[in-house]
Amino acid sequence: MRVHLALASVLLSPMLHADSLPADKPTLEVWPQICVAVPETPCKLDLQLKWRGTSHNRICILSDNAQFTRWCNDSNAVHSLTLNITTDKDIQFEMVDPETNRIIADAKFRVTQLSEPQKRRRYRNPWSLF
Amino acid sequence: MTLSWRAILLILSILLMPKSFASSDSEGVSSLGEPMSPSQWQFAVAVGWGEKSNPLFDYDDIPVYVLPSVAWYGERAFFDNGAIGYTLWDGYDYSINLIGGFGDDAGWFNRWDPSNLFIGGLSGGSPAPATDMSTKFSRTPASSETEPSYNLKDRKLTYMGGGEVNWYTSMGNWRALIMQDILNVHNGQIAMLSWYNYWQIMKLRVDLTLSLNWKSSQLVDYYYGISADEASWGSPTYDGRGTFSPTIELDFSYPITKKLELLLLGRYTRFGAGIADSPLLKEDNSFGVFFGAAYRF
Repeated sequence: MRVHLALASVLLSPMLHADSLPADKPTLEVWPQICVAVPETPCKLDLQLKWRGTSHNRICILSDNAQFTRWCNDSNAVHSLTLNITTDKDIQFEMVDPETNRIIADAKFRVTQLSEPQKRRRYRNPWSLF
Repeated sequence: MTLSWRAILLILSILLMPKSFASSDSEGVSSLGEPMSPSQWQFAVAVGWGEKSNPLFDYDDIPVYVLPSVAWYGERAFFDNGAIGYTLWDGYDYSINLIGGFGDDAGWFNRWDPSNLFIGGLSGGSPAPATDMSTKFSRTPASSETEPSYNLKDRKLTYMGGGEVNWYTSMGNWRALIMQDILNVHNGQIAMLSWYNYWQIMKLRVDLTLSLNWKSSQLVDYYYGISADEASWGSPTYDGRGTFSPTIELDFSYPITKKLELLLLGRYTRFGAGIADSPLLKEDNSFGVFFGAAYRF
């Protein structure tokens, strides 16, 4: 299935390790970060969002993708979210404080289109008589 | 009178209509000017009924039951229905190609000439020449004449090589082509200037080609001339002359599915005087027609 071709080419970059980041700075990570889509086939995959370093009890995650517009945690024990996404466009995620709507951190999932092979102009009529 | 001028203006405005109107979303065989994926063979075959009239005395018209279409385009080299080419320049507005292909005149004399390849062959049909090759040839005499007869030598097929320039405009594509016999058969030349455009009317695609073909005196004399040793006593000889022949080709295609389309093809050539004056010709023109279904593999 062509979708699987897109999936197979998804895992281009490793997830950033939160341990290597400053502990006091809230971070939002998306994994994978990039999907390479074959022409006319969107990326279909499970996106994992993880966040650390926030002192807020509640956070919400927003995106500019219609399939996932807003999600809020129920408790501060939750630090990850998995989304099943089908898209051929980049998705911008933002983690916000629901009480102030202030952006705490953000992350971007990128979709790269595999370029179409270059085509040539045909010089002859395929059905010309004689 | 006013109405006829309006009709002419309407036809002209359609013919010269910008390409934006004529954009094609056909998903069948790539048509002229449409994109070809590089290094992929494109095979298609049309099956139906058609006929190519033979202007020569004593040679049958050529049935057309099967039309193949085979094309391959590499990064620069290409093969397209018998034409072999190499692109020197391919820009947005124009392209320049080295081009080679079989001459088409031998096809009148030999049913199995490459220019007639596959045409009618798979479904039977009578071979074009009543007698093949070294042909006892007689034409219908005028009442007062003695019937002329000829013992024609073989008119050999040859391969032509040369170059072409294609110029793409919003009001159609122009092509100038010149080729030389490269197998030393007749050492003649051909040149062609053509204009091509198409229109998309709903799903119906209409392709129109107008061309003016010039053939040199060596070529015309080789195929349509009659030497003294070919003519029986009293029969006229003929020296071919370089000549211009206009051609119009009008094609209609209508897609049924992504791979299947209906075709109606028509072509008419009026031979220039250098060819038409030959005693070998019974007609000064040739027409072809084909109706059928085409399938892309």
